[in-house]
Amino acid sequence: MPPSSKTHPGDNGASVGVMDSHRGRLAALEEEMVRETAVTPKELIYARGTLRLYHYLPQTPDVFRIPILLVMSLVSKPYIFDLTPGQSLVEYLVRAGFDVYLVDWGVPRLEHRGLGVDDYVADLIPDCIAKIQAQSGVMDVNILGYCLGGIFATLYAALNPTGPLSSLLLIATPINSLGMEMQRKLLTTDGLDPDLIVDKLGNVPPAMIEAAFQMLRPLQKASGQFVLINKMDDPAFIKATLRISRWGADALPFPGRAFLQLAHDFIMENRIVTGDFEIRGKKVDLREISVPVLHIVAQHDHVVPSAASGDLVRLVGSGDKEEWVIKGGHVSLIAGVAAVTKTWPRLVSWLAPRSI
Amino acid sequence: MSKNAGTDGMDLLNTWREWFIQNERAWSEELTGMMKQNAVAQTIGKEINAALYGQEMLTQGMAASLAMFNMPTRDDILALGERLGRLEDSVARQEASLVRLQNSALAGSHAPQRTRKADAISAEHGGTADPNAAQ
Repeated sequence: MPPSSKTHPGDNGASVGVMDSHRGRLAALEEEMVRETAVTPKELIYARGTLRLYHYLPQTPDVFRIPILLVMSLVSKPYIFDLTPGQSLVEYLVRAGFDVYLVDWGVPRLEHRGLGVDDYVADLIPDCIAKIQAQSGVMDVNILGYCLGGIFATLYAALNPTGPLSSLLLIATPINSLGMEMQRKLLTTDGLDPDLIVDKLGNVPPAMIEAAFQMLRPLQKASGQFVLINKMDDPAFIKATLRISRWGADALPFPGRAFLQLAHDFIMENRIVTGDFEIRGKKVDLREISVPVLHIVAQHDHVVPSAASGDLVRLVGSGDKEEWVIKGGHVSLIAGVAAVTKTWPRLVSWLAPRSI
Repeated sequence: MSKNAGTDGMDLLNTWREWFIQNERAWSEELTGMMKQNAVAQTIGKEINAALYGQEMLTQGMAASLAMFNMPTRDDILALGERLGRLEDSVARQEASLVRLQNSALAGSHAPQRTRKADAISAEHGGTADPNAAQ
């Protein structure tokens, strides 16, 4: 008879003890992680509604002239930029001598269901830039946008070709919805009704956002759990993995109107690529972007596949434009081990001469 | 003996988990490939639509029962969340005002000069602008 917990009740007791011990260690790790997340020193310089604009305190005797604004997606918390000491893009930039600002869109409430893409692109981002100009005394600004934040940054750049933008740095930014097959199928096969979601719920709840991400790679979560169990003796690995999975599960509600605009105009009708996407009645033409553009994409990005992100550099009008394809996935691109040792040094080398 | 049997069991599970991890990407792609079929995508979408109506009916149905027992409904909890959120926003505005006041009092005396040059990066970080360097 093969050994089993039923035939060896003593073993069953022992394995329950082991599981309890694992749970205890995981809980302790979780507490440690919370303490270690987003700890780069910063000050809150502006708050408007749920928006918070943070300034990271410089840590070098001198800084680059042009400040950089980090723009996050609406549906994920921005602490992925400042995950933990040694695994923080913000910390890396500050230590390299950049003057770093971050816009945190916050957690939208029901009263914010009317916020649309135009509010973010034509009102909130310009407002943040004005505050940065006032604080720094410098008119120019660089912007780094990640994922959906990259879409906002791109739309802002196209709408303000003579504005204060000095260069545009994008990470895993989708632009061609034909490459987002799963989302298109859900929305264009007469199945999912995005208007019904917003009508019934106001904002799209975080659980729905998380489920949508999971649909893009359904077994990844289970696989991640198994990796953790098999590596229980490596606390450093466990912490690094849990940090990222904790962030992934920490989704934010999607403001209803912004969701609908993106579902209809971006996903279903691909209007950014066709040049028909409108912000406050004005069509957005990516050829208007003339500042230096760098787009960093991941080779194995299941959230924003290369078919969705690959056209961005081709579509912008800039003469100085590059796309870097980095090994890894959507999140490891910005917070993985390879990001720290390979991607960030290259990113900083690109940004430095464009920040003086 | 029972200890060995337990360890063997654990090893087998470890091996099974490793096998799952190795194959996860391919299996996930198979599943997403299936979900991308028109009929499947449409069914998933319709299920979500139905769940929205279901949740609405459940919420409405529960509201009367909860009110009868003088217990808060989902809407009550949401309203409380909205109020807390507005309080947080208000506190954040005050904090930002204080920071701005403090910064203007210091009149930029603590701000570092904006004179950093690009070569400081290569000197301190050993960075390179060659996009193929890390490939």
